[in-house]
Amino acid sequence: MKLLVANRGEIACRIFETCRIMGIGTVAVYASDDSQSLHVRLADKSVELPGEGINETYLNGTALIEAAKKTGATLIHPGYGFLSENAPFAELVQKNELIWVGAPSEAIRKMGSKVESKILAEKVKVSTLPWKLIENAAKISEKNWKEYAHKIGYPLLVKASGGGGGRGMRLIHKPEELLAGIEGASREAQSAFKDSSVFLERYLTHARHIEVQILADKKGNFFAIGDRECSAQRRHQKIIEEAPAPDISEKLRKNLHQAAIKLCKEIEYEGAGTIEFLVDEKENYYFLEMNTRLQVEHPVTEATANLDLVREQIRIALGEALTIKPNLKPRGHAIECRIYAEDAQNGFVPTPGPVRKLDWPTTRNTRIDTGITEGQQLSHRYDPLVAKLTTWGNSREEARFQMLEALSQTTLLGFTHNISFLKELLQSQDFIDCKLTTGLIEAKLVHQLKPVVDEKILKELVSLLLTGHEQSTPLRHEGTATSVQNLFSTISLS
Amino acid sequence: MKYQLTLNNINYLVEQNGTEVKLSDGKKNFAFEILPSSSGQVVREGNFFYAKIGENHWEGTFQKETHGAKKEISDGVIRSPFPGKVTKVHITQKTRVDKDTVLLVVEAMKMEYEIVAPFDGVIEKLLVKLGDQTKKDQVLVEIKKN
Repeated sequence: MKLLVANRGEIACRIFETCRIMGIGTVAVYASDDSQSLHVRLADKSVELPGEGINETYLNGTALIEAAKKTGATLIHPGYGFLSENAPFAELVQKNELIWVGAPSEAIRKMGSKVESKILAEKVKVSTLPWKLIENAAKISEKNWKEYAHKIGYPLLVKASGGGGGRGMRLIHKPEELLAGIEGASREAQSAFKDSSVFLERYLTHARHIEVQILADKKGNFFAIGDRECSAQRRHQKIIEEAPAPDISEKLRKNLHQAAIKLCKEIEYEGAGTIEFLVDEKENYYFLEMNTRLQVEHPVTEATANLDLVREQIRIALGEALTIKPNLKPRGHAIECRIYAEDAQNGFVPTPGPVRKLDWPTTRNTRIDTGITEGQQLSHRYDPLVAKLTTWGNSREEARFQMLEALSQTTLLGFTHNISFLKELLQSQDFIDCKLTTGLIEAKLVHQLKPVVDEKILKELVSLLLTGHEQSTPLRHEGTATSVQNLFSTISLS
Repeated sequence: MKYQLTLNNINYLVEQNGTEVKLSDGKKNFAFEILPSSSGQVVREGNFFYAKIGENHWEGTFQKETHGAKKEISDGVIRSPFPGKVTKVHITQKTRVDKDTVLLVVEAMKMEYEIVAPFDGVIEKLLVKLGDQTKKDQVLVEIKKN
């Protein structure tokens, strides 16, 4: 049996690891600028995708199917991002008699629609934030708009119903901003998604992001495999996640798990999936969206549930029944930090560059998921995620201290990254007290979290610069033979 | 020999005389002997440096003292905020623009960054074209104030 990963980077490497322990052969695909990347070197076989840019390569369904046929791969795992939530691709895989290690295409379609997923949630009595769909914005009078908005309450978001990635979205604080916001969002939605319909949705200023991991097999068994807190975000994207969600009542935890299972049953879900909720100060919770795929932050759940989610995904795809005991109690606490090539002091702009020096930590109970190696150039074409560090401890504090130590032991030189920022964030009082909400980093913390320069540092730094002791690793060029030894060190969390 | 160092948005003047170093940030100075060895590591990419000292990472710029300060955005010199690709060009040479007009879009790692006019003016030099790869800090556009 062989499995092709229709993806790149750390997630491809991570899926291959599980394949190896299951005795499944591995096939990598790559664009020409990825020929030296770690995921290619870790796979048994690899196929170059012709063309340039992600549309012609990692997003090219036909080329991916061809690669599977050529190498005799019978399973396709989409990872996250790229084609992982693309219903036509899921159907194409199955039409070609290959096994899709992903969600049913119908579930992907339903949950991919912002409007349909809300209607589904309401149908099974899972609360959503107050919202109102507007299909033809031009036909509605200003008076009606203001009435709708008044019912929903301010502040509110105007969102493109066919949208994503923050495009066609406007935050409205007061009635006077409403009309311009609707017109802007509607125009942007038309140009980006060929669909001008927008909806209004209540916006929570102080909300926590808590999500539930679901596994469902093809025999009708549904399990909630714990929850995660992902409130540490910038640009609406997560940077620190933990499991279980800390500082919530057991009643809320139970309600979230039950709500997630109800929704999954309603859409006859199969595979691994995540239901995201927003939770306010009073522990009211609202369905946000469902991700019908493996999440970036799945390692924290694996660490606390003592489970390999990719292994379960493959077993479900092969038609096996889940054998998990219900009401799993999480063991200890896990924290994940996402190391990004980005400049936290400058609006989190991406900062691709060369990896000249790279040393991973050797701390206990630390897991490293990465797709980068020393001597590699980070391409501006791909996601800025370079690695995920996950630490485990008996308590949240233990996991936090272990993470600080792991980040301190990491050396990554040659481009700007967020390691210092992550360390400052982990030591902030808001994080320690579980008081982070989704907008807090950008609103308040980013200006405060900066390492302090003192004379000792200046002396060391200037001496280093003047004596010119450089430890740069030259960049690898295509065709250079390199070995994989000592490149990938994942320390298990058992 | 004199050098300029920037770290955490603070500029320092570094004067080296043998193993003696004087450091000044314009307000405070201090002098020290170059440390013969260090457990720190440093990597340099042009004028940028990336260092790990003890448990922390530090980065900034380090270069020989240049006379005349680096031209900034207030002088109408607009630079690429990161290495990326020019995906939109809305102007040509001699275009008149208002403050906050989008001049170019530079894209990297799935993020689009709009380069906007810092003030009302005329485009004096357009130094990139659609599809060009940019380096961090590369000059993209020079604009003359109205």
